[in-house]
Amino acid sequence: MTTPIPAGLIALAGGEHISELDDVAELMRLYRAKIFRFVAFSVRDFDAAESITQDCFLKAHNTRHQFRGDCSVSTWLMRIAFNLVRDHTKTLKFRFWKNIQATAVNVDELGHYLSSNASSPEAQFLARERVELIQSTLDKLSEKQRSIFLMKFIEDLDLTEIGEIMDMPLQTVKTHLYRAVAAIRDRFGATL
Amino acid sequence: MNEHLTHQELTDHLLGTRSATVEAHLASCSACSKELYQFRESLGTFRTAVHNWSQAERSVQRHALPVPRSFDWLLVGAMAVVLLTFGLLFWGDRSDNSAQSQPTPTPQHVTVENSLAQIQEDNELLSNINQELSEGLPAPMQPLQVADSGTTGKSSN
Repeated sequence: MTTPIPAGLIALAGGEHISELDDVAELMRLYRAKIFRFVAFSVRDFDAAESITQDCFLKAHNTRHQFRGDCSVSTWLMRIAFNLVRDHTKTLKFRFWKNIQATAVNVDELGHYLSSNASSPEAQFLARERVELIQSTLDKLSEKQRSIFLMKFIEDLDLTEIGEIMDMPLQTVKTHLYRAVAAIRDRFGATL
Repeated sequence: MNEHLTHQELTDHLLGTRSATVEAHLASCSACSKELYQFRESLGTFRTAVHNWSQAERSVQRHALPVPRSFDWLLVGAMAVVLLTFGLLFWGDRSDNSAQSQPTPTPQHVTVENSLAQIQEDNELLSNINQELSEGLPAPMQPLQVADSGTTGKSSN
């Protein structure tokens, strides 16, 4: 009978294990898109998202000895990313002059990344309109609501995992989600 | 027909929490089932767009040269020096202008001194000058005392 390998460890031949966190290149290959996506739509700034994503992997590598394996590497990385995003949004108040729209995630641009196999031009237009509506509503949500919404509906994390990442009870996570969904439903109500 | 689903019921269903009551309602209420379908579909579309976007962004290197963070501070320092220089130049120019444009101290105390006595004194001085000028040039041999007496006479006036 084989013993289960703890989270974050990769089995080697001979029964030895190495930490997944030791190989930064592999770590970035596996999780960079996920972390970058979350950060980019949280801070809504392309340049800042790139910088925060790099910081996230650097921090994970530097503090890899603190990883106890009680959650997945993905969850651990998301927790680091969330904390970095929170720190960034705090410092934004003092660097507001840098927060220009030149590098912001473009809403119109996002509409171009829809899959083109929609049935008709009308359906494509409607889908694009909804994407823009959700994106613009996300901008108006609080930081926590937006983060939880992204984790749930973009990264498809379950609520307990989101609670672990954000260090908050399950019911609080749900409450934030109710409000985020309500805000989007309100906007949809005016158009659908 | 019973009431429509509450926001919490609808969101719970969206989050994957199944309930027999909600399922039964959705089976019979086209409004709620349509809204839920459209909402779920919209979220799915948004998710696809975001994933496609991040995959595309990953393959495109938008910034060839990463700018070191210390550059930010250099830029801020340079801007501060430029602003300080302009500020000093502007301040110096402004103080020069204010010194040049400062009016001679006439306005108020001249008007105070323009009393009737002062005007009278000035008029007497001018009439003395006119009188001396009307006498013509002094003769070459005219003793200097006359001029002295003229000045003493003026001062006595």
